[in-house]
Amino acid sequence: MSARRGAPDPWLIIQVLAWTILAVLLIWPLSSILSASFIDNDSGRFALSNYREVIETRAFRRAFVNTLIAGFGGMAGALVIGVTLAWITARHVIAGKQTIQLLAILALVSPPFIGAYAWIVLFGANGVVRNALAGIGIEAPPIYGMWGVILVFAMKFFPHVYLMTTTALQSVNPSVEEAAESLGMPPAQRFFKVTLPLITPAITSSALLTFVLSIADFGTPRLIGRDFNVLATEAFTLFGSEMGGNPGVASALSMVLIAISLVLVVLQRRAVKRDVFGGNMIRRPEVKLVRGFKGAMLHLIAYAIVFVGTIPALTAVIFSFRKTRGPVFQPGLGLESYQKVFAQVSAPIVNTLLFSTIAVAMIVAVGTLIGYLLARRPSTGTTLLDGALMVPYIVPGIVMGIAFITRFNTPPLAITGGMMVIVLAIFIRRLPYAARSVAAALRQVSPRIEEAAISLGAPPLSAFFKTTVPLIAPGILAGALMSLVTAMNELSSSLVLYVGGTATMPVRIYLAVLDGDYGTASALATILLGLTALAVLIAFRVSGRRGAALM
Amino acid sequence: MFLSAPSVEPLRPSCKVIATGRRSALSNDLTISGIRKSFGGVEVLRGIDLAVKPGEFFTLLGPSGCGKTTLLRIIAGFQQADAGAVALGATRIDHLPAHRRDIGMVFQDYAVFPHLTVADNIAFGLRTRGLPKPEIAERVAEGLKMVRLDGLGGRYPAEMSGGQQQRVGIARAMVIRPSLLLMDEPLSNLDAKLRIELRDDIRALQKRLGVAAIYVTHDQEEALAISDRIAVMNGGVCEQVGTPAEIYRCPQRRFPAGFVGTMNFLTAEARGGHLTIDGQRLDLAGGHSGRVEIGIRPEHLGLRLPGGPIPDGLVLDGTILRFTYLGTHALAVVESAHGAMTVQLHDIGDGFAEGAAVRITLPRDRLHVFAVNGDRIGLAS
Repeated sequence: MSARRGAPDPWLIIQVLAWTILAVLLIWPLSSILSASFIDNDSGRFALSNYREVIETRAFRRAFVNTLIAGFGGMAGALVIGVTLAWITARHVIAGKQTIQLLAILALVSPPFIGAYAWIVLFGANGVVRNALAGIGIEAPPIYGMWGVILVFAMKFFPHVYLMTTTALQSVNPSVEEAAESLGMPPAQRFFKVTLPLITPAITSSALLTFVLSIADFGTPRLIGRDFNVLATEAFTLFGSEMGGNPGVASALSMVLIAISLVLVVLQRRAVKRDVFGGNMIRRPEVKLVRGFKGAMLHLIAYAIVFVGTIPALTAVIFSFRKTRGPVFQPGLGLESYQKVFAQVSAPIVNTLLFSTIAVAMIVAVGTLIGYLLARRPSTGTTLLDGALMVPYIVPGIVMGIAFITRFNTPPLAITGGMMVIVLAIFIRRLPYAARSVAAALRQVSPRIEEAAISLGAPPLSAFFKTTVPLIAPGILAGALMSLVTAMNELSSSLVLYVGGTATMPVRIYLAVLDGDYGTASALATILLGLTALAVLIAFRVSGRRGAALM
Repeated sequence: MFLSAPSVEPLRPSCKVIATGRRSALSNDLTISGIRKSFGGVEVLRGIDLAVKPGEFFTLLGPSGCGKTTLLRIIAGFQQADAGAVALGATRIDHLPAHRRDIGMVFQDYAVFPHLTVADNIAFGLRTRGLPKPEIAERVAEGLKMVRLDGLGGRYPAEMSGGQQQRVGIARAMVIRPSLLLMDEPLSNLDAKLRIELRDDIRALQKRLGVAAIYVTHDQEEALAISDRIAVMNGGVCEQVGTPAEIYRCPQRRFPAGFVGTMNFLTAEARGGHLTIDGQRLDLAGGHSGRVEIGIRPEHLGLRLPGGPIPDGLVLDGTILRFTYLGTHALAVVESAHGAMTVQLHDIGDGFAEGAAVRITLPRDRLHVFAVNGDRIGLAS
């Protein structure tokens, strides 16, 4: 009797496909790290010797402590800056709010190592600003070391906090705040007693994000940390060492890194009960007009924050137009850096565009289907799928790179050294973001809409394409552009996986900075920033300028 | 409306042609038989049998979770029943996919397409049916007029109020001239005044087009006002089917008695076919024994000062706890030995103040007696 009994449900096939992808590109590679961490390098047997070595070696213990310092330090700095900026812009009339938001997003999407490098150029041992200050008799300490790393992280990741907190602040019901004041609470106290608790879920999840990003970042401590070693740099050194390396201990360090992220995720989930404090939003929160000195101060603080946040990008652009001879800057302006880039190192530009385009095409196709599955076909299977998609959030790129190189070095999937291994690493790292943003967009669209089309005679697939797709298309397109941005700027996994011919722009910039070839680095960074800014601008357009929706 | 012989051309699954308006209304009974449905081990529909007549306005009434929406979605084809059949005349339609059933549907959250204009929303079903352009234009104009949205065809849904959006939803479902119209709580997201206005419009429109309609609501007043017949549902079963008057006046089960309108209840113990309340004897049909509930509506209760003759029925003595004057009538809440009773008064006599000792009269022919299993028990004549 039933016509649908014969044909298998296409969504079941897609779920099987999704699990296959996760098994091959996530679980299988990561299992190599897990098993390698328990195998003794000498005997080749199961042992806890690698973990014992991690605990007993002074340098690793220090890297562990430094990782926590970098994580919590970066998080604290980003929170202070991000919440301040969010509070100023969400609740006050500030001229040029769009610009502030755009600058914050630009600061966010430019790779962190550009930040590290720019701070070196300005405040390093021979930094421009530091030299200038020395000229007028002020001895500023060079930026290297712990404080430099924390500063770079704070300035780099605060936009996450800013965007998420802004959204939360804009959705606090003003009546609740007014109720508190009418019950006799002064405004300042009301902020801490009512408003802050209401936006706490947003703040803690952005804090978690900045922590995870900080401890996963590898370029910044490497370039600016000097002797401030963290687990990510130690793991990379051990793994990539020319003289044999130590895969067992590198894997154990990676596991420790994953464990730290995992603990933080669990703690944050515990701290924030998942209920969202939604309510009837009849009115939007009031945006206060502030005049005079106070108004000027708020403008000054807001613009100072985004200006400092965009200093790295500005520095890269300015330095790319300086005259160079070899790797040395000369007085005056010139295009030598660009000539050199196009003459000698144009392959990374092509690679970056090619790899990220392929990765994004895959991300959009697979992410949309998985997103539909998560939002519209809830089952035990999709709940598990959603959980498994959390994994790439907490696995640092460097660890993912190491996992890929160990698993895909030998058959059945010997793709190491090729293009696809880099593309697939980007794909699996960014897939969860795409799937979840599609799921979020779909949850905004009532399933009744599709049913209405069906009841009017449209076959199911046609109903899906005529109603749901046009409604979520801007979301998918904006998400695709943001995936493109992150894909173009991916450093850590690519750095482990590249070979000479498959170097990407971030890899090449990183290598140029290490070589002290700042001219080439600046020119490449400027090109990368230009491409990034272009994608962000288009994403802004298609998403209707709702910046926070893009993250 | 034509009534044809029972042997209508059968709807086959391969049949791609859907009705385009030649047949303007259901010309056969819609019969639902033995429908069962479970979700994760919980049975939400436990064997539903119903028949909807051509041109009838039929309402599924019940509290949330009673299964009424699930039943509607099974008829629409958005959910599959575990067992049972849905048939149009002699032809089963439950094997047809939703888009071939030729059933118009109106949704609780309107479900208007936000990316299409009002006119394009209304034209949607006409386009999927491949109607010629001039006819689409004609029918869209007709649809706009029908729901009094003339001239607003170029608007987008976001520019309209909730009531207007639902009018678009109604027009969209009506212009395809479906053989059956389903409405899933279409008014519950609207404010009270608009609800009554649109309710009357829906009823008038349905009668004018002669289309059979199944309407889902949890609002008993709305159900009474709009329906030709009502099925009262509870806990996955159909408790009673009848006209609004039948259900209000003669509830056949304990559940509709309490759910539709206001009903006072008192409990008593029956032994050997009779029961006594305050020394007054009431004989039940069929020699029933066990606990029973006696129901009576506020407007059927009488209120008088203590003493005087005892009418055919029961009397209870009590004290007025609260007295509310409402103009056309008054409500008195009387505390008696059998609990609080609400009495609706039209002749407001003297002495009915709060705290006054009074006597309530319960006319015998207005009593509804129910057994513990919910069945109605007649009174012995």
